[in-house]
Amino acid sequence: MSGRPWFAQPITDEGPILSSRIRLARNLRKYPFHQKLNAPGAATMVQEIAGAIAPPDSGRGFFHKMDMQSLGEAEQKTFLEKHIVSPEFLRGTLPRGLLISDDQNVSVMLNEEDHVRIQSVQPGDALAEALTAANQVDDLIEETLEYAFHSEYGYLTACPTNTGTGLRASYMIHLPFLERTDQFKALLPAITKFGITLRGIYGEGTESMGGIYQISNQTTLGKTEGEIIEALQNMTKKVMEHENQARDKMLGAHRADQENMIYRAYGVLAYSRKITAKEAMDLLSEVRLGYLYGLLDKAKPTKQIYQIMMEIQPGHLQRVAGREMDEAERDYARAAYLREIFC
Amino acid sequence: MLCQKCKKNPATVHMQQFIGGNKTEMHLCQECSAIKMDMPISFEHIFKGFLTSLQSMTANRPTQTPSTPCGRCGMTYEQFKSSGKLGCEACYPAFAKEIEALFKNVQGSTRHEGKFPQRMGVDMRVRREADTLRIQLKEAVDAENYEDAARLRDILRAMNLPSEVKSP
Ligand SMILES: [Zn+2]
Ligand SMILES: [Zn+2]
Repeated sequence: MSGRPWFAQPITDEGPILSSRIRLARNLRKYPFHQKLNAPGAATMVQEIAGAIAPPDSGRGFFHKMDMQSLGEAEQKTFLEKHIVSPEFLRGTLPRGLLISDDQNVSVMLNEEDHVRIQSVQPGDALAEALTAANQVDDLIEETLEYAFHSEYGYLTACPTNTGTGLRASYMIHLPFLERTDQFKALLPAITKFGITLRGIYGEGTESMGGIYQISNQTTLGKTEGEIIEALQNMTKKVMEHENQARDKMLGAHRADQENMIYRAYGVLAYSRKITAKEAMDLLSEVRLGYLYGLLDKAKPTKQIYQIMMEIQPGHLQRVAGREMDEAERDYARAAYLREIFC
Repeated sequence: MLCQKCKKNPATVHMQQFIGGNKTEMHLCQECSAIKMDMPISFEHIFKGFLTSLQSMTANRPTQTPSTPCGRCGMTYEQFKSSGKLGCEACYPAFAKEIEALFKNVQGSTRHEGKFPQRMGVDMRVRREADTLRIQLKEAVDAENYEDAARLRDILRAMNLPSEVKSP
């Protein structure tokens, strides 16, 4: 369980798939769901589940309990930017709990939309490993506590879109060429038909910032966890085939243009004095391509590109600065951070 | 314009999604759009749309809309319809008909095929298996395929099920 966070591992930069993510949604039988839970009930529930996962004297010290209320706003935002918590979780007013493993790759939100939201992330293409790690936490809770479970419907969740396995499996995937050639419109209906969804992670306008997408299953009933994952893998393969076709076309006919874009991106990252998140994300996407396909003859930074993408987000910048910053201040701080890496 | 999701922060992010070939627009705040990894927005749309259509379908037959709230948590069907969230595990049987219709439509199935909690797992798995075998047995008998039927009956016997376990 110890080791580096997924985003700090080189494998995230070695192919289109940056990471594999598993989420399991569970509720305890004893308590009403989130909407009908009161504050004392929430407090007891959070304590009870946290105790089941990491009992004080169990030696399972790898889970850290975070006291959300005592964290500053910037600190909270960094969890959001790392995808460890959701905006809903941060906005919640009832007692909540957050458990994070040493390597930050397994985390559990207590009292989000469901009582238990287990999340497990692995770098690269490794959904099976991520599922195994999530199942370990799931089994740990189930050892001492009773889940809301129905013989026909499976695990009962607050929202019926999660009922059954409570599983959401997803890949974080870099699809810059599909994005550039505007092929999503044609692809999306076909993907949706198979119960899979594809969308930008940092969505703005019609594009996703930095060409980073999340592809995940939509349906949670009628299939085993293995079948859900397999269907996602198959669809991801298809999407990647399209991406590779678009790539081969671009690198074939427009290689010089492509190289030009990558080197210009590098130049701006290395020398700009003020840069927005959107622009930086898109330039980092170019540079990632440059390293991935050997088009950029510059030493690769020791930090992974996705880690850099994460660290230029507002929460991370403000946490490093140790203070609140307005948008313009952040744009300066972002440029300074990037110069240090690329210049 | 306020964010469509939290209805609190100003919407600064304007997204377009293509659902079944149709374009929908979402106007969200930075927080709601940027880092949300979980519920895919398009699916939420489909789901809410279905709830609304279910409501208008049953609106003509008011006796069919569940009017009694959940006995355990007090959630009414109206509340569920507007939030899309159930209040407790007893809400499932309380609104079983509507939820099953929703499952069929949105999930494409009503039956869980995945993991079972260990504490009920063994019994549950055996019941499931026996259910399937009984169906196969009936089919074999109906088809007058007595060789298969005998084989299936033997397997069922060998499973040594307690007498109260019967197919639903
Ligand atoms: Zn919002
Ligand atoms: Zn209820």
